Amino acid sequence: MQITQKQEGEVHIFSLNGRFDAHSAGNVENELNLVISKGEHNLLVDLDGVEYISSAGLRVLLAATKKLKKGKGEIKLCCLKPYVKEVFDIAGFTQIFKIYNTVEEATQSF
Amino acid sequence: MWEVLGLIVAGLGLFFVGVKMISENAKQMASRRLRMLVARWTQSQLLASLGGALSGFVTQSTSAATFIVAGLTSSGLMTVRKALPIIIWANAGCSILVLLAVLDIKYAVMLLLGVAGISFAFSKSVKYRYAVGILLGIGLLFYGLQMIRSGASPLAEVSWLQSFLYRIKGSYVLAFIVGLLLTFVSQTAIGIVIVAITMTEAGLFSVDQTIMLIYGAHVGSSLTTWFLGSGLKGTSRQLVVLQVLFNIVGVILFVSLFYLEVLGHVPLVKKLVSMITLELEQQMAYVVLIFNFGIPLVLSFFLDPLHRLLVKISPPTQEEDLSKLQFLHDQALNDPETAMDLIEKEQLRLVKRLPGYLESIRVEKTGEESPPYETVHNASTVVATEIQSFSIDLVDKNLSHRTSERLLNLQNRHSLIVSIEDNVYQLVRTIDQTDCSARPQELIHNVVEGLHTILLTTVDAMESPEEYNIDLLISITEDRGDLMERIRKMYLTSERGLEVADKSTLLYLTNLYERIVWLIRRWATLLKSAHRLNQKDKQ
Repeated sequence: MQITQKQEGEVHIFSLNGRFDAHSAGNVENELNLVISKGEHNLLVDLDGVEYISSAGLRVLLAATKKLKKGKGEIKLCCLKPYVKEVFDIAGFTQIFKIYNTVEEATQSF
Repeated sequence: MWEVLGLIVAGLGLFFVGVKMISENAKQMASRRLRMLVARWTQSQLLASLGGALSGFVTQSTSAATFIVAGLTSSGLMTVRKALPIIIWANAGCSILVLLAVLDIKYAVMLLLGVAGISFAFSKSVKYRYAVGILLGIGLLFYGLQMIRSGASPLAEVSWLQSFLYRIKGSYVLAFIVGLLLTFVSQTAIGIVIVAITMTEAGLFSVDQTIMLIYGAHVGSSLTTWFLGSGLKGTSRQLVVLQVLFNIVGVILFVSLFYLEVLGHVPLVKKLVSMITLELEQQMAYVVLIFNFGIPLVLSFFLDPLHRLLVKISPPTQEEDLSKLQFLHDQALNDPETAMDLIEKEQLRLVKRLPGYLESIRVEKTGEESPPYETVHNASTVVATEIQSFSIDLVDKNLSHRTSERLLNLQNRHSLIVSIEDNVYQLVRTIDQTDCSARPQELIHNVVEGLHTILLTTVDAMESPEEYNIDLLISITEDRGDLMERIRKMYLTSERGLEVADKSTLLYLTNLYERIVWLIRRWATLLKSAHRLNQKDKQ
């Protein structure tokens, strides 16, 4: 999985590209933890390039949101493909994550 | 010939049904109280040995005694170690019949079948029905053995067999093989031994040949037990191995003594029985008794090493290992608060197994080898029943209001875990057995990954029951009736081109999924109440 990161104002944006599964989950988790440990509070994960997500991927996002909650931070998601959105719906993750259609919309919401 | 074959096949069928009925009904009846009663009885080796001898005498079949006890051990009513004296002394009990010549239990079996059958058909009490089911199983088992015997008995009167027996006169090895084969075919060592003694009296066999035929019959009995027990695994098979070892080791020992006596002229078994009586028939009966009492007597001093050997030969199955309780024990009942902590630990073990059910149907493999879901389901059902019985016993204790409240919460959570487990099992089984077209597979995959995530979050909430973890679980399990309805409609519209069977499978699976999520939410809500109660106590 390809992970690119950029900073837009106070928002740290992660753009993921590829399969978000058990193979790639560890890498994404490490990158997210690194940014959270540096004190970043507002994280946005752009899932536009993700064509597949498994429970391992979902759990990484869940762990990140737990960590951010302790520091009063927040993680938001955007650009979910219909297939990925369906997994989020079924897993009940749409109840705990704020999900936006575009990066701009999500960035402005922080 | 067809009648002989028909009787043997039908007898085998009834025998196996009987074995299954004993085991299944004993499992249902195996309440903790009954288990404690049997455990107390088998605590004393002397009582267990006497019980074994009695069961061998009454059943007239070491195979039958072995399979009845195997049924009791597999249902948890008795441990294999405690069953060892029962099995070895059943051989002794069984051999007494040779001395008594013939005791026909045919009518007793018919009576048992009739009474048990009628009671089984008309009994309304569930507990009583299980007990009657065991009796009916025992009746069928014996009736089956009798059918095999009556099917095989004409073989002994066949003229070519008699002329064959005459031809082997003088050969010890052939007499041994004849005893072995006839017992294997007729399923009754004792029956063959009695016939052989009769033939010795008639001059068909020499005394030495009859002794070898008796030993051969014991090996044949082992082959029979081995054959009938081929379907058993794990600890139940240990008893079959024991019965086989009993005869094989005994025969090796006694045949060695036989040759030492015949060829080396050392006075041993033959000399001993000739000193007891001059009657040929009785001498042969004493050979049988010395064999079947001597071996148990020796083995009684080596039961622990024998048990270790049996465990090595036939270790417990994965299902048996998973069925064992890890934390609950009877002494814990004396301290209700500790007992409830232990119940929670056992419940956590059950909950932790749930994500593993999905491993067999997930596209993505974790790399960890999960046991087959059928195995885990069967084992979890056993553990869940044990927890249930334990918590019911706890109700009988004099509990404070606060403790009762905690116990009630725990029992309700337990019922929910049992329902969740069963529904997850149904869902996995359905998906595993369904070969849907490509499109619904996509939805099935999403359901599986979604559920896997929820189950892992459930484990988190139970392992660390902090407010945040429980609230998270409650949030992700919010009512999703509308959502699932929308997804269902999306997949079920005719444009998707789903087969009718695929549509009904999808409906069933999505309903199951909704039910599981609903049950988990109810469980999480109860966990939250328990957590608050706990917090209040700490304050």
